[in-house]
Amino acid sequence: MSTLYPYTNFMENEETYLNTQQVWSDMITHIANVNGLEVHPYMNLNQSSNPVRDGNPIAALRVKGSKKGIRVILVDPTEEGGDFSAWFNHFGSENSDESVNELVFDMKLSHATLGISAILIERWLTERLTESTLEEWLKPWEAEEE
Amino acid sequence: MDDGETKKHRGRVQAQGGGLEESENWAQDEPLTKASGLSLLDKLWEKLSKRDQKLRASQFENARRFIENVDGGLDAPLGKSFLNRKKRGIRVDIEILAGTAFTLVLCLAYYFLT
Repeated sequence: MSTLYPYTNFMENEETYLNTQQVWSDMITHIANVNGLEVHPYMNLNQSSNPVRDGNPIAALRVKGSKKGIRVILVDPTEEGGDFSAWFNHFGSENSDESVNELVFDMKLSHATLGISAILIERWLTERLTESTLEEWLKPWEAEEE
Repeated sequence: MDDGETKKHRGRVQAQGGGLEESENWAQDEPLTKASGLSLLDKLWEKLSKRDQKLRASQFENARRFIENVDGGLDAPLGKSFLNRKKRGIRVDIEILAGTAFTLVLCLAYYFLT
């Protein structure tokens, strides 16, 4: 396991959770802006009665004027299984206004998983990430199967 | 646009990954109750082969627990994924695409009957 990231225990308290959420929002926004894109949230994480506070997802941002989105799921570092995974998903009915072509991450937060996420987000936003290239990037992260 | 997309409350539960893509949808005029959500999960479970069930048993359990623990319903849009971290891509997804889902029907009944 790689070095723990400062916000690894993101569910410790409300403040830590919101700080972690901000890290992801800032990072995705920065990568998008550097590439001339704007992003905005596309999921309702601040539910009127109960905001989503389980890390699933911790962030979901979509490119303005595009169906391209990024969803990040954080899990507790004590969870069993691999530290990092990613996949493509189609959120919503195809061809509907609400539909989003997502790159979804599921990870235990660390410097390493944050780093690879940044690379993959950049490639996704600049049309340089396909199913096969994603497979290649994920190979070193594959968990030992039962 | 199909008829379902005109409904106020819509969404789906899905079993995905490893070549599988099965789902159960809802599209209705009233919010989806927890009981109906759990019933859709059960229907989805029944559609899977024994092998696919085994690969996703824990993820179905997590999705079920998630629905059971929702307090006051959830508003769209919201997507949740429950991943098998030992088998890449194997997962159960919940997508609330429009309206509200996982309400407690007793609350509504009480509201309308009093």
